[in-house]
Amino acid sequence: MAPSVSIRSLHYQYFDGAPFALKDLSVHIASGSCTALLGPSGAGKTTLLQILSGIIGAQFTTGKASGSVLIGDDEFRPIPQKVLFPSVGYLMQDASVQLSGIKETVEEELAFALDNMGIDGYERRERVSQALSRLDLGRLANRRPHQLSGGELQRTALASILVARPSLLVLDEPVNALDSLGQQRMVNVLRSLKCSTTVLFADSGIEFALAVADTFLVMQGGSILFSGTRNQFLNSLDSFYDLLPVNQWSEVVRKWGKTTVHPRVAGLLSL
Amino acid sequence: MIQFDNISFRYAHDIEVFRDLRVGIAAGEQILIVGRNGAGKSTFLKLLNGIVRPGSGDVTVGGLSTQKHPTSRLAAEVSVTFQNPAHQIFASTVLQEAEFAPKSLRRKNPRERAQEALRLFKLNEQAKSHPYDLSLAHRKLLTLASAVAADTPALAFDEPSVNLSRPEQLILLEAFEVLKKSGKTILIVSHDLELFLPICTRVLILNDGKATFFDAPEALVRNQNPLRRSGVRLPLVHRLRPYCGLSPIPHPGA
Repeated sequence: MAPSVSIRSLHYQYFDGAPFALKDLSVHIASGSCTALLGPSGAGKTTLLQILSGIIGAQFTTGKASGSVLIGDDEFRPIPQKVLFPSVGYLMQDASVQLSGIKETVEEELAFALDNMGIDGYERRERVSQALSRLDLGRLANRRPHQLSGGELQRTALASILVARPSLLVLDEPVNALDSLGQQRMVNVLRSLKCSTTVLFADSGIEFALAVADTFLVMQGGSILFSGTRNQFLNSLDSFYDLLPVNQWSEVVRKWGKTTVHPRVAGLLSL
Repeated sequence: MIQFDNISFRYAHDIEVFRDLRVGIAAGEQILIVGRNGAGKSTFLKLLNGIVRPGSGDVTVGGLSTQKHPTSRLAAEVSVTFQNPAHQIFASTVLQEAEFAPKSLRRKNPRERAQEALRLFKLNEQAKSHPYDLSLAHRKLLTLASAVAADTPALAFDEPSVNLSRPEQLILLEAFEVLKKSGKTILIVSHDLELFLPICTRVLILNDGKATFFDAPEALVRNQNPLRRSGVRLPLVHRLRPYCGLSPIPHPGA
């Protein structure tokens, strides 16, 4: 069951006296939704994702938090204190840091999480082969992970999380190393997870988000500046001119609002 | 300014990256280089200053053959910036990092050049900071500033907008505008067509070891087949523009 996520009045500092990385942040993310988290560098996107994955609570012993985080039926006050994998899958911004570094092949890397979860035999083979084909990694199955290109690494890192079938996926810039084919593939993967998995991803662009997300959050200075549907986001683009790469989009949407929408335009943007 | 004559190249024991590649770039052009992951875009930049050298054919930069001149000499003609800032930053202050190239190239007034480049990328107030105390986005801008401080006629950037959010992208676009006006030849490898199409004079598509397209960005709007065939698509916003009665490739100021 895909969990909803509710965050109430969350404050977070990396250490006592540090500036607030998150400031009075409250948000509700619906079960099974796909949410884009947008905002400039330093807005707090990565901090939020790492709190939801449990990494921050587990690793930053100097951190100061207040507020509460609710993931499904599990309430954390103020934040999760241990890594929540496999129920929460977290994709790091830099995929090369994500991989174990001790596995000889891509296939073994994918099976690593399953080995740790005690899943073996038919189930292990089945999950690995499904993840390989889902991210088009079949021909790289026997490749050494350190020989992969940036885009291949990113796909391998995501596949190594998907094998565990997390019900909440938090992804930090999942397409920053991918070319357009890779991005399209990622769109298809996220669409195929719809409803069965709650997805929250941070991105520095907006095109990928427009293709895949149903909910949009814009962060600035540790708080949520905007929360809404794709249409509400498109209608508010002008207010994000300095924060997000929306200048070309603003012009298109402004013009578009005044003319009849060409059916192909609607088709291009439809989910 | 830059000439690739019948270039063939392969990494040891690996498949061929380029086969008989021919490309000529005039001084003062801004070239956007695109292609799918693994098409040879980064290798193309490394051929410019002799980090790698062609198996056959000749690359000339500012009239110098990369077969006959060392990287230290070629570095005075073209600055190449890597994709990952961690692969090139080594000084212990921002200013020292920006000063390294003009000092090594024995340019006049290296400090002033470094300071001017830092101002261009809005890093002047962080001149005394340690580069690793900067955010990743600012570290990326620092690598660009260091290249500009070298004051070479040509500048080549590998994925300059990756890791940058909108505020830093705006700094980058403004800086490129200044460099363009001063007559620099600029090569940009990027997947971010939305950002860079409006500011380039020509787009070079690399696919299957060859240049499959080398023409003005407007030509891509008329015919998107070369892009599609090489696994690259025009960004959605550019595909939408004609339907909305807007010019296909707008100037960033528009």
